[in-house]
Amino acid sequence: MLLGSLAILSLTGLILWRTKPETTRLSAWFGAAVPLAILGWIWRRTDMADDPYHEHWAWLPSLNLDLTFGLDGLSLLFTVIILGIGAAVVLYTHYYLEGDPRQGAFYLFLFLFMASMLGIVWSDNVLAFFVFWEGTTVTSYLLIGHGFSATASQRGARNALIVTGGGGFAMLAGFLLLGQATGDWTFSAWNATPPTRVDDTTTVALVLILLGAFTKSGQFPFHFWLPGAMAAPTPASAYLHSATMVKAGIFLAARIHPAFGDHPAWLPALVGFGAVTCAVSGVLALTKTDLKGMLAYATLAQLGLLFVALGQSGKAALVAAVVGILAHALYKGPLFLSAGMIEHATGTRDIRRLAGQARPLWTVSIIVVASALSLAALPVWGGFLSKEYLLDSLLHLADSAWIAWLGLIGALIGSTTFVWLAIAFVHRIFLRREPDTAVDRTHQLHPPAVTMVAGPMALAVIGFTLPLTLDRLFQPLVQGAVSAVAGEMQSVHIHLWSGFNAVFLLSLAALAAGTGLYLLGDRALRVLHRGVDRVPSGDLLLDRTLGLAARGASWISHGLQDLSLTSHVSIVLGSAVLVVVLVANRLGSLFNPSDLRLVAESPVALWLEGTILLLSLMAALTVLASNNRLAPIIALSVVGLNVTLFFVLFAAPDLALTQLLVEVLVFVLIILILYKLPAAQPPRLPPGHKIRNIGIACITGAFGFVLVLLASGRPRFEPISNEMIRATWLDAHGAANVVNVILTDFRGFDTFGEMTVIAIAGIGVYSLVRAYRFRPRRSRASE
Amino acid sequence: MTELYLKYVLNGLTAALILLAFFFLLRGHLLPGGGFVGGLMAAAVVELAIISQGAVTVQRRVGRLLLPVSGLGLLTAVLAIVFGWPKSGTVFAPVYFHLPWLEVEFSTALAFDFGVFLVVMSVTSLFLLDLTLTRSARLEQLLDMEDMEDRSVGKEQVSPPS
Repeated sequence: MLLGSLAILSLTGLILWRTKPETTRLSAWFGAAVPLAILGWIWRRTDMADDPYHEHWAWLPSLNLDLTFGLDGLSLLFTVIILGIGAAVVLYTHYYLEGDPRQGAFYLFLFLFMASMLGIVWSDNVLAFFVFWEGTTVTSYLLIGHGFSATASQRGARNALIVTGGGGFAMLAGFLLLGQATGDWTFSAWNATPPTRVDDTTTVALVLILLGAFTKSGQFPFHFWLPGAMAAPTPASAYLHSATMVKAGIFLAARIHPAFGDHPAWLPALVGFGAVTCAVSGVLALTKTDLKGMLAYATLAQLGLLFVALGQSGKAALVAAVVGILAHALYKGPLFLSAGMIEHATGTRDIRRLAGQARPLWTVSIIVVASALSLAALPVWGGFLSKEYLLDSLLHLADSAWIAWLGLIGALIGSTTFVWLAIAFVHRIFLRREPDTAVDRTHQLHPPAVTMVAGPMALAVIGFTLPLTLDRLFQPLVQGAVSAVAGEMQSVHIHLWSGFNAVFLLSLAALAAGTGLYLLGDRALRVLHRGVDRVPSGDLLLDRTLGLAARGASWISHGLQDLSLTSHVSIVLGSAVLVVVLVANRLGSLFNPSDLRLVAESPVALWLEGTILLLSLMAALTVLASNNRLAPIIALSVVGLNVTLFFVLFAAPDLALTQLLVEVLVFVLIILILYKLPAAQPPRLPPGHKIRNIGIACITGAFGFVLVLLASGRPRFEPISNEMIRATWLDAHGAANVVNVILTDFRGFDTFGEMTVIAIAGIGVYSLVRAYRFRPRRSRASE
Repeated sequence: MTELYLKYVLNGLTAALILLAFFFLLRGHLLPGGGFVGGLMAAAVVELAIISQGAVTVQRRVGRLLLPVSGLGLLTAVLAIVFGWPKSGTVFAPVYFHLPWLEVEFSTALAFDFGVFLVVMSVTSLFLLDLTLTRSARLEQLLDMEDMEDRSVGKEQVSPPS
């Protein structure tokens, strides 16, 4: 069922890609219906009370890689979010990318992303988990790069790819360490028998895995990639960067929570990094003027809060995490989509240029207000509930662990900025009369179509009514998810109102602080701006590092590959010799001088071999002595023919035939090429180069000599050829030519690989030599 | 560089070399030879034609066939590899045919060798031909006949090899 769902989603993407979705709105409805249908199907087939749904497909059992899909409470929670918000985003995309001819490609990547994301939350096998994890990395790269401003989106896409991809590799290393230490390759096995011993392997593995989670979820100091990725089209930002992909890190932490929740490094790492991220990103959000930029930093801060919650083990903290995940998806998604609609309608996303849109964009204003209630954590909406449980848990923890204070402070700073953001969104965009800076009057106001509003509106309504439904409709979902994260069955009932206590006072303080900060106006922010500008952003550091890497690479390649063929060849030969000299010690042990003996079967043979050797030597000397082009080539050819004669003498007719043919063909070819070359003499080499060339030639020659000497010594092992000759006589239907049987049978795959290489080389030569033919066409196309 | 004496021996030598190439290919399973040697021998036919008739003539006669033939060779090899699959459940399973009116025994190994033959022959010929074709005016003319629509633009791009 689950594997089939992934296939259906990918297929839907392919269908939308090929059918030009920008031309008809039916395609958007079709695309939105598919995830909803799958969601309904899965929902019906799962019974939360019983054993979690499970399915198993062998993929590469020899590598411990299987497609083991499971649906527990946690997976189901994320499945609902991915498919539900996915449907809204798919519908919205059609109107956001109105008439864009690349809409089909965007849909394809979106659906592939959806499938990868579902693969993440369903996979029980850690290696399959990694495959899907990187699947989201790659598809998100493609989605971010779809943006309108080419350089910004390319940079954003690249940085996102490097940070999340690098973190993914760290995570894979952690998985491999842990898998080899425990012998289990599934999350369920790790969770069932948590690593009780705290040793170095477990700690290192945990750090690596958390690195993957932190980079994916943009935790400090990897927080810079997410705002950079805001160059993506808004549907991608809303889907990937608020509801799903950045939550993959949260999901990973929740997934391994039962196994590592008691590890001594777990609490400080998650609470520490989460709290710092929450405070830093929350403050950075205040300094932004781009709607999506503000939302991106607020998302990071929210993710920090979720990590703070997951760092603890108490039931209240886990409830805070689960409710927070659900509520955040339900309010941040609509806010992102609204930012896109506002941009679509007014032509700008800059909050300084927006004002008085309450009447023209009244549908959008409803969505924003409904979502801002939860963002500002007003009682009793989702954001408030999650934060109440979190603060409650932190206050209890504060007695025993100092890190809880850090979490508390981070959470309060974050909450204050959320309040500021919520007020800013509602007041500046919709209520105030005059914008801060002049508005671009040329843009025709373009209210969104009803169907464009439908998706975000549905999400906002669900989010708005969440207080009513949380303990009824969503109760089994929340309870299942909390149980899965806790690792044991938990009975969860959420109270909307827990009394007038310390926690509530803290919430009130955050509300008041945020409101007060907003009333103070821009004066407070100006100080902030000046401070923030002084710190170099991670974006810039990454750019500089990449620039350095590129310069280093070009330095190396220029040093190794100048335009001279001679130095090319010397470097290749020199490195070959060097590599073998480095392992010469081990070769030396194979060599025994007493094995060497001069063997000649008869005086005639000795005389023949001596003559051939002499001829070769003379030819080689001719190569050195001549100073025109033709003579050395003829002389080299003589050497080659002498080698052929040696093959004949030592009874290797196959080799002799091949050598003879290659010699003849290459000789004629070189003569033909020489015929076309200009008659000018090659330039005289500087003396230093000549000495270098002589040195390398001598060393290579001596090296080849020694190698042949070693190879002709007495064999230390029984040669494989005996077995091959035996098998040929027995099995190959009376075939007598062992060489041919080896080529076509024993080593058939090798031969086939070589054939492919030869054919590819042929295509290479064909396109290189004839490339100039296509130049006129290209230049005409560019005109 | 079309040599007169080559013109006289060309026909005879070509026929002999082609026969020899197939001879080596067919007897490869029993005696020295095989697809690789046969393929090189067949490429020698092309080389002989190049030095006796000029690369341009050869290009016009067989030039366009060479790449497709190498693909055909790969296809032949793949078919030979999977031929025995349905019956024995493994690739590279040998299958033998006894043709009653011939002494020679045919096998999938021979078909595979024929694939090698085709690839080696076509790619080697392609090397020989492409490296001897220069950007002469004559060649330009030939190529322009192949795609007429490029004639007007192609001329000014012609430059001597550097």
